[in-house]
Amino acid sequence: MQKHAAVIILLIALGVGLLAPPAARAHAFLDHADPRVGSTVRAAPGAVSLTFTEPVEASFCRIDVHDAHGQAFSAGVLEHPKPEELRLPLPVLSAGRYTVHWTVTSVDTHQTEGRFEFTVSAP
Amino acid sequence: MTPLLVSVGWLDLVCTVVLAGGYISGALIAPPGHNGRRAIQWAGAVLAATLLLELIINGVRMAAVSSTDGLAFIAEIFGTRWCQLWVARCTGLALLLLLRVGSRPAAAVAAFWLALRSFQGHAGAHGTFPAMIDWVHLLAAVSWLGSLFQLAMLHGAIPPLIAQRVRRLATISVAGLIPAGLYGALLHIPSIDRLVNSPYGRTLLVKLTLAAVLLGMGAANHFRYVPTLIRNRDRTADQQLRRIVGWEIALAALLLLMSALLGILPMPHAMPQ
Repeated sequence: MQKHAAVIILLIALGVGLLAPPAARAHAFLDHADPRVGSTVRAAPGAVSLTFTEPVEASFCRIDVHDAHGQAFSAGVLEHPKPEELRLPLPVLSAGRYTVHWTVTSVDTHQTEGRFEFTVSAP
Repeated sequence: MTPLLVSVGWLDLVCTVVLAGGYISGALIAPPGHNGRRAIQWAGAVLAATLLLELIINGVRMAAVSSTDGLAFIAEIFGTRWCQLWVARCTGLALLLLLRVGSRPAAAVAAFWLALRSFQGHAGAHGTFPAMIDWVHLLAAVSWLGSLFQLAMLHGAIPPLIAQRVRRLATISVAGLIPAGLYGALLHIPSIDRLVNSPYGRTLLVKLTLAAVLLGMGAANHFRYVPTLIRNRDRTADQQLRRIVGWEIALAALLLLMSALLGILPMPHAMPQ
């Protein structure tokens, strides 16, 4: 009886493992950004800086910046000034709304992604 | 990918408990019997396969966000902190399997080997101190559960001296386990709201409930079944102890599943600015 119950519990354990919800597997979340999330800046920023809640592996991170028409900006090489910070140099942006899409891998290999917008009011 | 990650994480934890717990129990309680020794060898073999699987899974996931391929990609993967710790864990596993179960140096290697797992996971990403606290938590859990597993693996009647030693090790382990676990819980979930309203928090609540039941069973062992075995030394007392230890191990397997799930769930976080 006891052996059967133990086997049932082990099977339930494996079953729950296999039926686990499709959760995000990530832990490096965006803590703050420059330009700030949803902000409007007067002068076009020279770069977009993203600071995460934990250190990231820069080789497995990506940041894309798009304008309101969905056109991507091929800016400079992604920089990694601090363990939890990424910085993407930008070309001179004209006035308009921009979307930053980020995908990062934290040092414990969990991946997250997200996006935010900022607006340049004057170039 | 998530169910696979949970299952692999669970296997990793279960094998780690049986393997490292077996070495620690072998040095502090008594050298394992035939069954216990075989279980340790099996755990080592399964863990080696699991570690390889973990590397493959992470390689596939990282390939999705990498701009390189071929040898450059492999070099990038092995340049990550996770992978460097993975290599160290594999090396430590190989070393452990070469050492004699029951010796104190082997138990010390097993204890330090566990630290690599703490630095590789969530806690390690938070910093050195959280990783050290996580190591204390892991070491305590592995010592307790590993010694219970070896007790269940014993052939024939449980010697009262061994039951008494397991009881003492379990008590010391729980004394380290609870404060270290509380620290980890407060680090990851700083408010009641996030505990109740996030998948991570709710999974943690399930784990804490299971842990409370397990502690209750441990208390029953400590205050009732082991003293009865020492006093009476009869078959009934032996069977009673074996029964509750079997339940504890089954419950611990469920608890480790919750730990594996917590290992991949996102922690609740504030909105970015």
